[in-house]
Amino acid sequence: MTDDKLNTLMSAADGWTRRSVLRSAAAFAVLGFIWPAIPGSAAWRTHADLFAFSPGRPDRLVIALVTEMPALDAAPERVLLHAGNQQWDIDGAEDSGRYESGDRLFSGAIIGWEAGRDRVYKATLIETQTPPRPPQGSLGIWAERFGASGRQRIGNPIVAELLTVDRTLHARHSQTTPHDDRAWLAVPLAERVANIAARAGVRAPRAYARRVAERFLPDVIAFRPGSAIGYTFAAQNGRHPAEDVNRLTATILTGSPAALPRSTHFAISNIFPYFISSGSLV
Amino acid sequence: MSHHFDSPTGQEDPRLNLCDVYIFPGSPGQTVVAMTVNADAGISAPDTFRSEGVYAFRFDLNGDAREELTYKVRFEEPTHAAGDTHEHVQSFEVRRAVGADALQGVGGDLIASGTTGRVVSAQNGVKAFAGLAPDMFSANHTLVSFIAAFFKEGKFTPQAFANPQQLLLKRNITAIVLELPTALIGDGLIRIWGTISLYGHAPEVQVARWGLPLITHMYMVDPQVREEFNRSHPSDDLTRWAPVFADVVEKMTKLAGSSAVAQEYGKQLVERFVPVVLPYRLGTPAAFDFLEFNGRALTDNVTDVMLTLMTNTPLNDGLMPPADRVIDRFPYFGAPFLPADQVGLKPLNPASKFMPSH
Repeated sequence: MTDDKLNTLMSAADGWTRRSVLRSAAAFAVLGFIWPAIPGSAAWRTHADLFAFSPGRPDRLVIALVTEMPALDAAPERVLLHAGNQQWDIDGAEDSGRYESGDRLFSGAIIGWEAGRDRVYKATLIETQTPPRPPQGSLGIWAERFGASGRQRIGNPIVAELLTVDRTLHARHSQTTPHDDRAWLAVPLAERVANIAARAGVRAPRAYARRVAERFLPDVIAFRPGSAIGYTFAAQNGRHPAEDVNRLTATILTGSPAALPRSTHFAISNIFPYFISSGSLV
Repeated sequence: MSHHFDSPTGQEDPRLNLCDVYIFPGSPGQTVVAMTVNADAGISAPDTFRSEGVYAFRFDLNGDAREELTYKVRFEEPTHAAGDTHEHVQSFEVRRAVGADALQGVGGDLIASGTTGRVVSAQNGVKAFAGLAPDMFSANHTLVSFIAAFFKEGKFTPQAFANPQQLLLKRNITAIVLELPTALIGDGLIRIWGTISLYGHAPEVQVARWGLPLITHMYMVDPQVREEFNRSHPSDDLTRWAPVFADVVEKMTKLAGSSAVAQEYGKQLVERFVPVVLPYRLGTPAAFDFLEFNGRALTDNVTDVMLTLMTNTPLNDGLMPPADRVIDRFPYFGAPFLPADQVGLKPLNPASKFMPSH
């Protein structure tokens, strides 16, 4: 590790001991977290984030898929948003509107922050009535997007980070649905987590990794209607766009407190579409 | 310090200071529960237990925040060990109580009896130990300044942990350890907490309670509030203590800039903490970590977990429990530190009225 990268990590670590930073960094090198994009990795994967949050009203739920802004000449991407048994099929060319059901749609450019700089992203979101709590307690929220490189499936940040550095897993993930995840993804996911956790010094890393797989599969944002919303250390229920998931994800995967630069995040207002659209800054 | 020196009662009489509780699997088909008392035993605390004390492991078996099963341990007055005027020994009994007996009193079926300092193996598969043991809690002295900066100055100071100082290095404690056939507890998910009560000439009164680590030190700065918590029952936690937890973490996460909606995080933490008891799925590996609370092993680094939850920020206090003091057989606590190991250590609790005589 170069001194520059170590200094970057240390400055983000808010005064941690050098030993703990080095321990974390050893694991993070496997994750490809803070380093510049692994050569050759960016081409096969478009970063995407899925959010599920309340816009200030407990009876309403916003599900939002945020991706990198496509090229100007790219064809509109079709997006499917899923919440339990509900599904919204969104033509990428649509802008905004209201369905007969009362659900509201937005598809357009928004502003987010990454590494201290604002950038433009593409958001596709639905605002809908908060579903009732299902018998099993929670429902799964996930998304699909159909872009130039084919179908991509998006769920929770924990699984997403592991897919970042594993092209084979990512390819199969893109061909399946959450219903299939426990059957085929549990073992390889646990193997990768065990490797990371072992490097970070976790006691019984394989047992820990199995627990991580059990908790975060299937690959969805778990949402428990009626409970406080947030993807936090206390609970992972929905996900708010203003949250920093890098630190939580790294801590979960390494089993150790992990300081990292803040993840991409978004300011939220109380006015639909709740994200700051790039047009609003004109 | 988990609940070490946490209240005036515990500081005045360390034999009533319930420091930590653990639960983890033992031998196949067995579950181990352990309670530590007398922080800094042998230096600023005795290495004995109070004869009026009822040291109890309480189990909620059905999720109603009330105990359906309690294991109680009581001690006779200490005497000097034969031929050694410095070593104290006490006889003790372990009772298993259900129904009304689980809630209060000293009733229950006798399942083991013995003498402190020795492993007791009963015919029903129960093992018991009570005596001096190494303190497995890893306490960073700078935790005190971190908490003080928050409560007194309204500041978030993670840099406090840049120079860790092990408060309990080479300190002993007294431990009560039971290894029980898991069937004598139950099956599936249970919730455990520990209490110390005084029972004798006066009506029984609970004076200490432990359900999760560091609760009193991190969330209650007023000594009288800590006393009140120590005398409370989990069934009252939602009304009495949930607002306290929510208020603290809302303020802390706003200072730390770590929550999108601080009020929502407060609610999430309350859902995680309340009632303040330790959940455990019997028969599974114990782990008190960032994923969940599932029992607690002797080497679990609970301080990092509780700091991280309090702040919704990954915090590392730089210390770990002394894993070299754990053994792989009952009583699982290794040998206590010898006087030769503790040369130069000063008493941690000057308020104690029970400095050991030598």
